[in-house]
Amino acid sequence: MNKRLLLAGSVRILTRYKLRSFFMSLGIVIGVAALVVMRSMGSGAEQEMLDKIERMFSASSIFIMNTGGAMRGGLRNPGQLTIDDLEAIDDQLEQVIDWDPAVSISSREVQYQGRNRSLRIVGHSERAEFVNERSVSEGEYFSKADVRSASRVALIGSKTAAALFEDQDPVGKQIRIGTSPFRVKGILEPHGVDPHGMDRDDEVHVPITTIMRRLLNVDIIGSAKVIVSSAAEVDETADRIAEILQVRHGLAVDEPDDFSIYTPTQVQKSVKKANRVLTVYLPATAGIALFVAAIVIANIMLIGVRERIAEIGLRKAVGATNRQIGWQFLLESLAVSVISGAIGVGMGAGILVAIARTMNPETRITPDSIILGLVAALVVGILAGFLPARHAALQEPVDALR
Amino acid sequence: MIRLRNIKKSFPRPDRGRLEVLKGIDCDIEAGEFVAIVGPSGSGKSTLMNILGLLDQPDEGEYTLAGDTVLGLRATDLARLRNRRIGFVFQQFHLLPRTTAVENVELPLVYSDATEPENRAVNALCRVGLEDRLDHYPSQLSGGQQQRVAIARALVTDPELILADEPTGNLDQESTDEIMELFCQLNRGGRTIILITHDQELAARCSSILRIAGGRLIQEEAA
Repeated sequence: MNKRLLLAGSVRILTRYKLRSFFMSLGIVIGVAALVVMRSMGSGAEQEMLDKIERMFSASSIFIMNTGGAMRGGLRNPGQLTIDDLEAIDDQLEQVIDWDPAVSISSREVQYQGRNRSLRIVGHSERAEFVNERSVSEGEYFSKADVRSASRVALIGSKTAAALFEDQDPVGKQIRIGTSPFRVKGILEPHGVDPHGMDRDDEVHVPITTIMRRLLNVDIIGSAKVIVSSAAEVDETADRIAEILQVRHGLAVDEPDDFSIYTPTQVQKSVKKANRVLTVYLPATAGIALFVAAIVIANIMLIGVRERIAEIGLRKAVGATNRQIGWQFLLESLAVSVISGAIGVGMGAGILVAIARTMNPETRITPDSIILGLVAALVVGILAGFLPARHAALQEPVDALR
Repeated sequence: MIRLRNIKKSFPRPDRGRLEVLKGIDCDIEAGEFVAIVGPSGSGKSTLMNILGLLDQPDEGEYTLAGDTVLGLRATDLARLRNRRIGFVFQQFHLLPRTTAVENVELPLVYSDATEPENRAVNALCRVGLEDRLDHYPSQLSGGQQQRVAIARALVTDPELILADEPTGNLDQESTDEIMELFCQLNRGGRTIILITHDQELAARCSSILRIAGGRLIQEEAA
């Protein structure tokens, strides 16, 4: 068999029956383009989210939340995490190199010269500057002394600064949080929107002692971030921290924890799981388009087999075996699908470039989406071509030539 | 060249039972002969042609083609034999539409190991006098020219036997004469040709005539 001639013949059919080829390829082009766009954007969005988490939650950190995962009497366990707990952890575990406790108020009125804004107030220790890798762009971070004495100083986000002060320099100015006066000590470095959707540039940070004693009057903290000496020690340290907290909180063996511990790998895993909608299910809807495309191709090809029955008979008369006839038709559907798949990838890339220019400059075509698109096209070609090819191969030459 | 013994073939009838089309055909065709098989329509000419061309298998009988028994072979081997030994010419030409003359003639070479298929196809077209129509589509050719393309296609694998089933059935008198002249020329070149026709006048131009009637064959000498 002369394979080059057979292939040339298949391609010839496609170029000579242009309208027919156009309709065969349309579904694949659209389906593959949709697949490439959705997959690229989905994994792009996921990567963006993972990057954000990475920024907030570096590989060698552990996050402790004051609330247990288990419910008690229909309510979340209120928890009893304290700064003393963290100090105990720091004492007992030498791999813990730094930590920062946090307490937050979801919303409180912040005021400057008649301008009001409802903002999230977060209390941190002075170590947050390093633990959270977020310093100030103007002014100074609050000091250890500020924390020790629960001073009324505040750091404000860049958006807060713009909203309350417009073009004035906020550093050194007096604001009110609720009814208490605070002195603005600095402006926080821009951070953007966090994975929970909160704008971290529109909030106020105060010393943790100030928020605990002066604004809330509580002993327990909301959460804490612990930095360990290396990422490899994170999992083991998380287990040790749990043990220490269980003992300190007097929890019986079968009692559920009244705290939760998160490690970066856990968070990444849950983010990936939550993002499956974007990275798997949404692209899979393009699969429906491709499935329909496969049916259309199979249909057009079956009609083609019927129209070309004399051709099949003739080819058999001049020496084609059943297998060769089958291959010819399968080759035609594969040629259509692979070529349309490539066009679809190109179209998807074009759409992504357009999106990058107009909406989201971060948008990129991902290599896995290209491979996914081409493989999907190939699969469609095989699925769509198989039945018509078989049908063609099994024609009796005598019947076909009649 | 061809030896048939007691070839029988029947087809199922719509009302059950079977229709016996060939009731025991015996015939010998020597290499280099130009034989006409004649008979009224429905007499089993085409069935016989299909069996001779290895497109169909008889229910019974023996068939030796160039010394080889060809009954009971696998479909793949039959396809190979058709490709190498037999050239077909049909009444409806059976040219592929939207495919040039050269590409049509190349078709049997797709299924062979022949080298330089395009050169061979061009040569075959030159032999039937279509050297100036190589890249024409069937729709751009006259009936006689289309049939000559089909003959070139039959010749391109250089087969010993050419089977022509009513090759001039769709042609006018002038084209018919041209095609018959072409067959005679090929026959003089040493090729065995079997022409199936119901036209007595055409049959008379062949070297011998086999008359099929009542499912049997009667050998006649040409006039």
